[in-house]
Amino acid sequence: MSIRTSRLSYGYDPKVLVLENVCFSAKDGEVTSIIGPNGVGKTTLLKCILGLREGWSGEIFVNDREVRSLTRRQSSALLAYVPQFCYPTFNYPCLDMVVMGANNRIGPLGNPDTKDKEEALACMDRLGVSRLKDRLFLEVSGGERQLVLIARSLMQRAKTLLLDEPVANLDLGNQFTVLDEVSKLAGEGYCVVMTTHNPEQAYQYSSCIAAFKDSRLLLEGNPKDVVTEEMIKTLYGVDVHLESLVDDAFRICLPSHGFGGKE
Amino acid sequence: MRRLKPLVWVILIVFLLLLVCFSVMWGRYPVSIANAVRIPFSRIFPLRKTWTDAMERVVLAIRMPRIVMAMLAGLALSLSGAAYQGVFQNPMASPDILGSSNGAAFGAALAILFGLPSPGIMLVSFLSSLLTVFLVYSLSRKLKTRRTTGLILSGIMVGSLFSSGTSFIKLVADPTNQLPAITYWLMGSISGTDWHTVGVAFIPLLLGVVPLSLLSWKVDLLSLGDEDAMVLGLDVNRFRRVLVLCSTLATSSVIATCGLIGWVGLVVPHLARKLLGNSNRNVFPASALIGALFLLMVDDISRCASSSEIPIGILTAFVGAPFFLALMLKGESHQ
Repeated sequence: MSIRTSRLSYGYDPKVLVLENVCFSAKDGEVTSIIGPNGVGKTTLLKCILGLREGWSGEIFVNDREVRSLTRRQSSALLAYVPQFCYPTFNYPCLDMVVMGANNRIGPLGNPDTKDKEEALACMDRLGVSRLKDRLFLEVSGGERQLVLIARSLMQRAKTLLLDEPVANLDLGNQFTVLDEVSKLAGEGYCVVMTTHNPEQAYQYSSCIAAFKDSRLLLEGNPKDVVTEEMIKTLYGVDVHLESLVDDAFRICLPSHGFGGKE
Repeated sequence: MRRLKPLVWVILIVFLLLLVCFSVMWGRYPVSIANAVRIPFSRIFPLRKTWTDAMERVVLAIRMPRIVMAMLAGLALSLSGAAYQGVFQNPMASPDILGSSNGAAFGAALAILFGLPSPGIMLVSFLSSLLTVFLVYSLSRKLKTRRTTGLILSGIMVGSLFSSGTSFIKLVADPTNQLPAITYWLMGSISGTDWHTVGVAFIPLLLGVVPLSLLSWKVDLLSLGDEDAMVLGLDVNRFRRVLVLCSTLATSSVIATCGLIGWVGLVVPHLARKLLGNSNRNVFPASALIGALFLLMVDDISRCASSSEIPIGILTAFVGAPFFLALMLKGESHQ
């Protein structure tokens, strides 16, 4: 079991908790999706796990190690993170961006060498973006940027990947590319956790879904048990009709109150 | 562009060596190119003497220390400018904008007023400079504007506070010897530098510059934003503190010796980025090299352009201010 939190609570203000008694877990070799309405603490959960938030109570284990006891460098070798946005102040070539992932094994005064560059190129190759190595990061498309950031997280050699809404700003084609790559990585043994606004994609790509509502983890388990009409109603407050397609490989949410004027 | 990079380095180094050679030759007392090369080397190798004693004194005791000081000052100011820009993730950051120069000048003027010896001037100037950077940065984070604007505004504010402090010191300073000393020194000048001055500035300057040049690659990580850099295993807060300490030490050791030399730290790193890209592994050494080259050139102009010496701070402002304006006009399109 790769990530496990027990009774995790966190609030910016002690009276208003963003996360309350969350017992969440994610396994190696699986994609675990976190769904729930806006502001429910999905991103905050990721940031607590990454050690980017302080003052939470409860316990968080990564590979059975308490994250509080980890230094930045140790945590960086266990956990990689792909943020929703990344706008570096200065623009670097994509290869340089990926090489930065090697920081956790380069000493305080060290520099990356040719081996690190080769490894970075291999990581890019794995995601099919090695052709971008000399292009500037801010000048490639959103989808390509996301893939470069995933390559950077592979460069960390961490086996647990946390992705914050990896496809929220991508066009349809790029959404499929990124999600396919992500589930491929899970197939290779990585523990992948991602937040998403799209229950249909969560259903299609993950082995496990955690549903959050009002700072609490309502239900975590098999997608077939989580993506249901009742749960969608509970989470998002809308009545939907779930259409199951191709032997229940896909579930599509249809609004049950009509067809948006298209009779 | 990538293939041209080694060429850029070679050109910069050759240019610097040539300029050093010319700087030895140029001046009121002209020295031939052969002697300009032979005199300094005569200290290491036994060479046949083809020059006069006066010539030797001009070269070894007057021009050489001045050349070394100009290069060191340019190097330190530019490198700290590059580091400040990396630390604060702000292309407008520099010793001038952050008020660190004004702070250092205030500290140095205060120390001169109390008649402290040069190491004392250095220390007071460093502490006061550090205080300014701290004030400017913490104020800028409180201002509810864009980060770049906030930094510039609070820099102007705190900087002018410290420069009026400096004016006050001038007011109470003894008008016969202290006041002219402070005033001329504030305008920034490398004239009258001897080996002793170089020696005093050298150690603190080195203590600032050496760590900076070793840490350059990790500065790139700061560009990603604090959270990303932390996830990649960088202790961001400690790293920032180290960088600010080193850059401020380098800046203040220059200001305490040479007076207010503005704009170099802002302009040079941008030139370096234009030539060699944004990676700080290139930007840091290139800034140091270009900074040394630039300030040596300006100092040559300052001592050769007219019959009386033009303070170097005035000349750097002539170049720097329009450049700053151009930078503002170009906008923050990449942010």
